[in-house]
Amino acid sequence: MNNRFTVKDFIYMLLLVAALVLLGLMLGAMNYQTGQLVSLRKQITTGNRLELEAIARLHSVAGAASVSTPSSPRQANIRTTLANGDRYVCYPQVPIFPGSPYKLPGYAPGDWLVQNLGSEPHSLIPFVTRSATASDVQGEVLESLLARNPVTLHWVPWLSRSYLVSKNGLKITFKLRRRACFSNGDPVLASDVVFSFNTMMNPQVNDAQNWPYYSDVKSCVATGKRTVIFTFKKPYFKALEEVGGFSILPEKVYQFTKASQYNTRSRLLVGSGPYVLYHWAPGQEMVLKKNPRYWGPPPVFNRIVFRFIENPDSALATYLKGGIDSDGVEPSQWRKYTAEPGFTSRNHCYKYLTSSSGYLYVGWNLKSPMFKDRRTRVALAMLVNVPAIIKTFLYGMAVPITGPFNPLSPQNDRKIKPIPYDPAAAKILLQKAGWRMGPNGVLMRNGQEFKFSLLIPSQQPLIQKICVYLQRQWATAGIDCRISPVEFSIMIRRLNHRQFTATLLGWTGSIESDPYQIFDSKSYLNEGSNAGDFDNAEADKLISQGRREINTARRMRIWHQLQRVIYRQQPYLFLFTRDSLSFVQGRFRNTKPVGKFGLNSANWYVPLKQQKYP
Amino acid sequence: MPETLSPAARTPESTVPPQTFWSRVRSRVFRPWMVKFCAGYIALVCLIAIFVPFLATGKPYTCIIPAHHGVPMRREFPLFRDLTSVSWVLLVVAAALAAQTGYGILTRRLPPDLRRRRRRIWLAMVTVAAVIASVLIVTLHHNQLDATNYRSLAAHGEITHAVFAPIPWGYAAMEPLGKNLINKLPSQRHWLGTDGDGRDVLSRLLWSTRVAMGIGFISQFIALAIGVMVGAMTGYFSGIVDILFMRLVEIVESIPSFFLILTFVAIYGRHIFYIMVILGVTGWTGYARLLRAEFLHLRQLDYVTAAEAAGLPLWRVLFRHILPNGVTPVLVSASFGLAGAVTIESSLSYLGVGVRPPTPSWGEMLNAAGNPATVFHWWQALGPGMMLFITVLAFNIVGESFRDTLDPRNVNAG
Repeated sequence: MNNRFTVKDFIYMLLLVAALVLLGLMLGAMNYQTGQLVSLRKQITTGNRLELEAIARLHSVAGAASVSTPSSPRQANIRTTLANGDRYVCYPQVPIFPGSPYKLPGYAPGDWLVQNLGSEPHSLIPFVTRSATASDVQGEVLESLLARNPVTLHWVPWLSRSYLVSKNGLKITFKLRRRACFSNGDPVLASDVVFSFNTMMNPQVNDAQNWPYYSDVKSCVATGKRTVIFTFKKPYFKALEEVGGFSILPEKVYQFTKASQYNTRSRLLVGSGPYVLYHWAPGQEMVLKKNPRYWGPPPVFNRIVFRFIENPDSALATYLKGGIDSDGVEPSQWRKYTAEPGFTSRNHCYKYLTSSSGYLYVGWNLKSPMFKDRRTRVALAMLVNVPAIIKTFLYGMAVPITGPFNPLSPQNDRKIKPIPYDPAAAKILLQKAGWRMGPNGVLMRNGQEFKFSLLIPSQQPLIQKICVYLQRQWATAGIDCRISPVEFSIMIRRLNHRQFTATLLGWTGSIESDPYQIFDSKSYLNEGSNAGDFDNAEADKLISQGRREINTARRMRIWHQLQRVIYRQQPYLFLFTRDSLSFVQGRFRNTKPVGKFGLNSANWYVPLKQQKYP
Repeated sequence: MPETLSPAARTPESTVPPQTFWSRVRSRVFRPWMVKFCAGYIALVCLIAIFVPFLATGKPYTCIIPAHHGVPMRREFPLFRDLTSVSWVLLVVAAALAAQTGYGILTRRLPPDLRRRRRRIWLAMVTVAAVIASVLIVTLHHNQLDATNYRSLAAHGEITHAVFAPIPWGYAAMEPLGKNLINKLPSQRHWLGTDGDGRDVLSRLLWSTRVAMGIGFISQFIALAIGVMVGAMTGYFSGIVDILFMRLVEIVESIPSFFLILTFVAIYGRHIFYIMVILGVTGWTGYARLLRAEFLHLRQLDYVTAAEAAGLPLWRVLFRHILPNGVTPVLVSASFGLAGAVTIESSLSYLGVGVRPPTPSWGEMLNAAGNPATVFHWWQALGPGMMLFITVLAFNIVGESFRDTLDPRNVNAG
């Protein structure tokens, strides 16, 4: 019988070839990734053996001098203004902040700290990632030149040993600590600082949100092995905080020829901090291990484990079973459990408002013709009863706000009263803005219906509750709002690409925030944080003035003026700042919030007998 | 002369009208009381899904607005003004079904042939009318955005003679904030209590039948349409068509529909339509396999050869002569598929990626009821939990009864 080569055989052959090509491609990709991993691991773990040993020796000796044996003489810290008006601050030893556990009776290092991160960060690239959860992880691994004392709020040298600020504020000189080293054993050098700064300012690196803070930096130059000088074009009130506050990366590990290489290393996280990234199982957990070469005060826990439980109920259930060690809870959960007999004695329960607490807002895309008119935005705010929301959904555990500044911060002008809840006045205002009732019961202007979709993160029951209420309230005035919940990282991408009409989201806060990032018209460009395109000449002028003003009292007056402009313009519908509510497992000690930053897990420890993990 | 060529022997001389295949199946499937109960339950849930805008809504059927500011007194129909196009289309479908059934009852005394012909004409007329009406509704109808609190207006005498629905709460109607009316236990005002937003749980429970039935029926309809087409083609033609399409079936089978929905929803946002389409587009492979097997067997039978020899067009041979004899196992399988679709939708909503708020769904309500390990409101979970359980069970029991009846190995098979 003749075996002919038929169409069927041809298809089989084609499929076979395709499968082989696919297999080859997969093997190639795997090989490439393995090669990269191996070279990175080599860089991180091996390095120059002699150099490592020397540094480790130095580390142990110096560590003993500064931390373990407090009886040894400490050189005095210097904080002074020199004759020429320059400000000089020098901390010869690594500062130990109030609340640190080392000298407490019963203090013992060891055990693990298992925390819930909520949503999983999709990358850990320093400078590029924007999510608060990623910065929680980075905070344990990366360090910066300065650190902030939680009580005095002073910026004190950390990776640096001293800094000198010129009288006009245009030049800041940092001297680095000799002992400071990265987790791969390399010392922290001026070249690493310059590399980190240049990476952050590289236009090809996707971190436009950081640029506003550094737009006035003229140069960052290493003048010695351990000396860096930052010079500024203009004075800036946050100059010291910003140049002393960015993360310092090891050049040897992060160096790149093309920015795309940097932008895509989503799992690489190496720094000089007390912990190193050990393991990341996507969707499950991220494990940090104690950095054995850490140069500073010894870290308390052997491991920090981050879990990703988004749903607050599941998170609390896990906490109650001991699966996580601390949990930020919802008001309803707080109310139920703190009322339970014995719960507060078995757990540490903290409810507090810090001056760095963030706020929740509804942001309008002012490019949309619906929200261009100021009266429309004010009317939308007048239809919302914020105190009732706080009372019903948050059991009173929040404070209404009138602007972007924290209610406890001196930046906030307390004389401004929240926009009153007045549906009748809102309807009149909408009429004045040209909205008329259309045939479908929806307001219309110039043939366009007042219909928009409200972008919100999914898995946030509280935000969803508030949205349902807002939708209802606006509907009473003939405004048709559709709720559109999407996954958080997708939501951020939509905001960056300006693909939204309105959104309900929160901003994290700080003791004194720079409104440039969110409210300056220039922050609309390059995927900046002014996603709604708030473009107001008066606000821009005040922001610019405030940033240049070094005198705190005068600057606060400018911020108060700015707050009035923002209040009048209502680019956001400002909702409230929530109380932080946290449960911490009873086995931990020294968990009380210290100073003005709330809970700080770096201070916690577990007495030896109660330690749960090896 | 009947057009259908069938392998089944017919007895045209009999004086008693012959019992058709389907009437025989019907009488056996619904014989056990449990199946009767389940079928009744499914019918009830479908009726609720269609008529829920008249059962649970805050808008009165009718009311009178007294004269004020020179505007004369007038009668309003807020409930009908508020009906969405989906509600109207469902009413049209219900009316069409009622018309068809009614006509069947009216013509039951006519001779069978005449009756069949007339019913066919009537069915065509009703279908065309329903399709035209539905298209007109979808293109021309806009429902009113009306958030007026009619209960409060009636209480304050601003409207009179208001006739409210038996459950005078819409699924999104909230009790006023700040009055401590959220998460309240069942009472006379709210028969199944209120949820965390101060909304009536019973109203939401009834409205959520729409999502469940909608997802179940539409996704399975899509799956059946694709599955029947592909199964018929592969079974009838076999050869290269069979090889290609069966590889396609294998590819589609390897796609996990649940995770596809999760991904799709994460990227494009939530919409019930996406869930229906994805469940349909990924769920047809089982039907295609079943039908392929049936077609492989049936195409070799004499009556098919006869049909081909008679010069009938291909589509007629496929869908008019082979399909009716091979579709029964597919329909049985569809009833299980329906239960599966309802479960998947509930799981998605429970995970918070199903329907958009404030649309209610059983899964979403179970999620909102809280976590038994932490804060839990039992009255919010009881209704949706029971409904979900009974609905899935009912579909499975009816499907199983169909399967047993149609199984050729069963001696009692129809």
